[in-house]
Amino acid sequence: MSDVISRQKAEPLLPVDKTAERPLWVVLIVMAFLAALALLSSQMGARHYDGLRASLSGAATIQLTDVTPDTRLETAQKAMSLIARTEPSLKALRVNDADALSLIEPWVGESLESGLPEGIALPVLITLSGSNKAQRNTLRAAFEKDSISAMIDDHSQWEGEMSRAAKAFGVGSWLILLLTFFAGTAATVFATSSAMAAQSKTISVFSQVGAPDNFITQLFMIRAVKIGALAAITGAFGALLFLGLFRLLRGPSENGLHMSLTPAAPDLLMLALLCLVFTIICAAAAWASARQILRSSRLYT
Amino acid sequence: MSYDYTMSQPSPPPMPPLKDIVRFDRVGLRYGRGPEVLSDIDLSLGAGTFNFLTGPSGAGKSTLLRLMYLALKPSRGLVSLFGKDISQLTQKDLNNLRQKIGVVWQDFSLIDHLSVYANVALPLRVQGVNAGSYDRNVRELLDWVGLGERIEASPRTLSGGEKQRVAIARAVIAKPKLLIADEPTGNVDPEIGARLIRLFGEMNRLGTTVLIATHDRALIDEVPARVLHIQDAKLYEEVDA
Repeated sequence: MSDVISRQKAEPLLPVDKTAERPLWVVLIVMAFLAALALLSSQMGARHYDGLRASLSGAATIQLTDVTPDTRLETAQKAMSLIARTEPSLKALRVNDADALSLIEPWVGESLESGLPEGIALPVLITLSGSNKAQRNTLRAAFEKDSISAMIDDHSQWEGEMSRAAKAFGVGSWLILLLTFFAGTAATVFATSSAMAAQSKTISVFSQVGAPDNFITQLFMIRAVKIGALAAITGAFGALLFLGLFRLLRGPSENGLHMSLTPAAPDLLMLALLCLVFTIICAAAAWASARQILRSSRLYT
Repeated sequence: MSYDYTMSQPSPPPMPPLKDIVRFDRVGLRYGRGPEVLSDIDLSLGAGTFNFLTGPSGAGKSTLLRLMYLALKPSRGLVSLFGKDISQLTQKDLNNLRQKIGVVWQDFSLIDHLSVYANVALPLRVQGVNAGSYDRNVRELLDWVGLGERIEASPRTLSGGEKQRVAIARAVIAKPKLLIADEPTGNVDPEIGARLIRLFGEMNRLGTTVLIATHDRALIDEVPARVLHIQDAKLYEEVDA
């Protein structure tokens, strides 16, 4: 009995034409690679954006303007005391002058080791954490009342732009994912049609001995499942490898706009899901295309 | 029910003819706008009958057979198989009908990438028969047609006569109700040919309706059977003078 079953397994009803299938393999692997890369980018990008947003949430920077080298210390003390009085629950920290200088450096566009250019005063910066909008408005009013010239930047503009960029990145990634699915479907349909044309004599014998359409379509579907699954796994593995290499070349820096390229456990789960979806798409495309061809060649019904 | 290929066992009594297995009423066939290659064919093959179809080359023997095994659709007229008008059947019904018909094609239509064994087992595999249950039948049948030693061979490596025997084994393995054979003894030596005709006779005795298209007059004279003759697109029945 087992001998008979192993004989059937060894003799698939459809021949495997490796030479003819090679282009399909290449196309599907590339599609799966792109899909996996798009998915991973979307996942990592979303995670990076969430991290940035969390770090910015509640954070604000108070810039005391209208200060001179003679008044900066006194103004800073007045401001710190006002914050402590008005919103005692907030954590305020004065940025030391060296850090303030390094923050200004990119905007000035030159090295500030020898000090600020003439006419530009080093601002007094105070960072606030854990603040909400109402508290910031209260502080604005208090600064105004005490005649302290201050600007409170709650990073809302920066956060808004970042949110828009993250959304665009996410939509772009999903669009690429969809396109690769479409391309995978088209490639599978084309490959199934070609295989059916190449095997028309075999199919005709199957039909003549009474094989139902489902029996024949299943043969093509099973082949598509095998190719689709292997191509998807290869493509996904290739995408992980690519990101690993990219990370190696770029270095491990994962701050600012440089997102982490290390996949997390949910990413791997999503990749597994992607492989499954990719395989299902290939199978469905092969099934539908084989069925359509069989229907169109029917004589009677 | 199993066939006794060696004919050494006592056989059950022959089945009485029940109804027409094949019925053609004024069937005509033309390709495109050409003339009719078959015209006004009236034909009935009763259950359990043995029939020969003769005629010159190109007269339309194979075409008539193709109409019968549903590989062609008539341009006009009515074709009934197993008492059913085939134009009214669903695809599922047609597939079920095909499973009751064994066909030996003139070009054998073997599947080259499958072994002799897999080619013969194909109709059973398609019908979803359990692989373990047909293994013995396939081997016995291949032994009987003299190919027991070649079950693993690819059809590509077989001679014309061997291919023909594989095609015949495949046609009879599922114990069809109707067996249609197009020149089934054309490529085999007389001894094997006689053996194959015995196989057809045995199947017929157990109720299978047999129709064999042949040029072989000796074969027709050897077996007592109804003889149909096709010529000039028309079908005639030969009667003894």
